[in-house]
Amino acid sequence: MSDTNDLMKQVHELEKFKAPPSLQEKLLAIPELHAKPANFNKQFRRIAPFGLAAAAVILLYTNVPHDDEEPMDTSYSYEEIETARQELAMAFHYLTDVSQQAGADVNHLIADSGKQALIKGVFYPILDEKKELNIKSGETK
Amino acid sequence: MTDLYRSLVSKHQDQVYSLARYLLADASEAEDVAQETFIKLWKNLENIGEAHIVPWLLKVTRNGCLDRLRARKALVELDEQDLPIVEKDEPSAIEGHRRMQETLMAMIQSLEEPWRSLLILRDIHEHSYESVGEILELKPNQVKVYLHRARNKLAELFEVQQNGLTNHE
Repeated sequence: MSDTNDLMKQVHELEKFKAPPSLQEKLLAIPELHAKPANFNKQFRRIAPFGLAAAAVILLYTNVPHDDEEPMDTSYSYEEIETARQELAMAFHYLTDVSQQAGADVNHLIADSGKQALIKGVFYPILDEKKELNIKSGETK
Repeated sequence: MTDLYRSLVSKHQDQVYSLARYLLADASEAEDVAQETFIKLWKNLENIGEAHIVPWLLKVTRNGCLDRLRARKALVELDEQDLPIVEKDEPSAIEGHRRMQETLMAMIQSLEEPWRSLLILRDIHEHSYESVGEILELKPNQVKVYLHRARNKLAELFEVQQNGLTNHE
């Protein structure tokens, strides 16, 4: 294969990659995940604590020490960190639930794109779920 | 709108993913870029003319990939020593073909822009000169001239690699 034409013939035969089925599922879910709910700003303020808790999960989940380890940041007491860890764990379970309802895997979302995936893949479903809960409980605001 | 979006995913997801996969040389990152691209498509679908959807998708994909490559700080620049060596005593023809394909893929990925994108878009994915021009913001004539240079660069790289192999023996 000494000349450019022969080489280019080989280039033409290079594989065209196919999108994996798991990617197609994520792409098809985008319209649902990115539908902006009505009263977005009002809803945003109301569920902001969930968003913050979720962001904290992303940022701290792997950094919080376990029971038998010394806290890494000594400006916090062990009790404070333990409380935060428990709250983060609860928030993580909550995220898992809502993301499963949205057909997503929270571990995958977090591993993939961190906060961006959180906002796109989890935050909106939280909004939807909060809205649904409010409707069920008769709250109209 | 959702039906249109879904049909566009079915039609174009492979092209988007394949372009990202070639540019980034990383399956996981290619998936991320594909997702980001289709999120942008969903948000901008009303503003994109049907005839421009494919170039638009591939342009956004390429930009997303280039951003990531810049963020990596070290572009996927493989030097000659890093390229897979095509050995002459291959165990089988199939294995030899596979190694050759890997070598070519790595060489294309090691080229700089716009040579790399030109070869990927035109020679691997077979987009028209007009589409490639729209994606890379080049005139069709420029595409032809640049593509010729890109092919020559690839051939030079291949020759260097082959000579290196000969000297190595």
